[in-house]
Amino acid sequence: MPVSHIVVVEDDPLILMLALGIIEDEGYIALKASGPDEAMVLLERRSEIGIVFTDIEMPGSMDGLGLGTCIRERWPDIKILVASGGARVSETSLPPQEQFLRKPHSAKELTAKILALQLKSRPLPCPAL
Amino acid sequence: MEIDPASSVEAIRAIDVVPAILDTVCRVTGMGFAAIARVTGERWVACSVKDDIAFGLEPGGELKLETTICHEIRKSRQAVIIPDVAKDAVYCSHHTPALYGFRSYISFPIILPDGRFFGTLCAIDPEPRNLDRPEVRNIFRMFADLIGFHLGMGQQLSETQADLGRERQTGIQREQFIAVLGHDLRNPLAALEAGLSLMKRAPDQKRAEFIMSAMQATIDRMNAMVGNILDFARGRLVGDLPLRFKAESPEAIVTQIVNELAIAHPERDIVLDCDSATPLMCDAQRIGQLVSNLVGNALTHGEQGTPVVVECRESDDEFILSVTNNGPEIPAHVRGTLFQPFEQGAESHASGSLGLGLYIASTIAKAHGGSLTVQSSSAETIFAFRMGVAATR
Repeated sequence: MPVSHIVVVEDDPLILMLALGIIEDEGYIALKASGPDEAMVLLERRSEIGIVFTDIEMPGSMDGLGLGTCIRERWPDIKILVASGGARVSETSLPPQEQFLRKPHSAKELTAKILALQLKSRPLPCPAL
Repeated sequence: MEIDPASSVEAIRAIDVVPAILDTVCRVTGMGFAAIARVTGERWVACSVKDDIAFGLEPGGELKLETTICHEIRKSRQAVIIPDVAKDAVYCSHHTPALYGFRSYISFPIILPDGRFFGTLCAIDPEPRNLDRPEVRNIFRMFADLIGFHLGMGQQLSETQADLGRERQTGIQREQFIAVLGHDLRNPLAALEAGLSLMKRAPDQKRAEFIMSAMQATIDRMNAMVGNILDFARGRLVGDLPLRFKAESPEAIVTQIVNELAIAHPERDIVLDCDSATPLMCDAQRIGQLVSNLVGNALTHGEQGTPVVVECRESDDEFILSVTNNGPEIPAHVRGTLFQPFEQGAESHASGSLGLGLYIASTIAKAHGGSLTVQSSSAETIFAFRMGVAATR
């Protein structure tokens, strides 16, 4: 099923607003969350969400990576795109169904990552399970 | 650096050749007791001992300074050689040989390379000994010089090590500083870039106003960060914060800062409860900065939708400012290093925080003879600044 709804988790209002605009321009429905806790509330209420685009450095009970772990456990079908201005995360340290975007990024880079996430096949189920 | 008697014992123990030196002087002179003593203006401490005559002194043991001849050598810096007390014009009636029961005595001063007096290399025996020979004198002089040289080297080494440790610490801080700077200034820059991109998308009037006020807030935040960086550089790398003390109204300072932050954060609720009328001897600008850092921190880490409570109180000649937020509990291991530079940054990284705010607030508190403390539970986190009212008058 193609992705229709994307959640943007970002504590900076300007970066949040721009990301929402770019995503809407591509024809998706963009939902905003100013922190991981708000994102969790959205995810619990809406079942149409296909992608969560989250910043890593955020104040609150967990950061973007913690949010990613939480989502993987509860909603394994949702794909995750994490962004950071720091060089702390390398692509290889992320699970295969996640993508990393370095801040600041252009509109083109963001839409390319969203497309790449949708093209990625889900990991093969482990036979032992 | 002064060598204290206790560490002198350790410094002598660290010199491998000392037992061989004491053994050699005993063999060459035929004397039964030899020692290296640390002699200060107040004390005589045995640092290393060879005792074949059961004189009964061990390393760390002391003699009463006035009863020793070493005490006199400390003043004269001249060696004393007494082959036979009974035949010596000066020492036959001296109190020391009588007190300790020896007939022969030899002692040479140990001088450090920087010219300071350390103590003596000395030996005694109950029998007269043939000490007035050039080889005895030469051996003592050579050994005393050797010990002084070793002590100087040891001291230089430990000073160099301390210097190196300080340098390394400064180096680590400088690296952290640059890393955090590069990382944290990039965040607001990304926000400004996003703001510009948004303006290029031709927003309507209302949206444009929101974008521009958010950009202004980001610029203010960067300004505050640059201010913090400069204070850090001044406080840590140059010296103490310069302060201008005046009698000030704490209520006026706190109210002004809280009002400013309330305007910058219209979506947040800041509750101010001030009950402190006594003027404080303080630097108003610095105390304002402390309040701003604490309230800014509470706004960042407090739960959205819950108020930040700022209270000023007075009790027992003490002014207490507390800032309370309902954010998540700060773990105990983080609380311990919260007031160190960059430590906030290492743990939970809020965009716009350099990890310097609390460090600077705590530096300001100390500069006012006060303190900054934190209490944190799952219910609330309270930062409290205390300073004396009477002490600063």
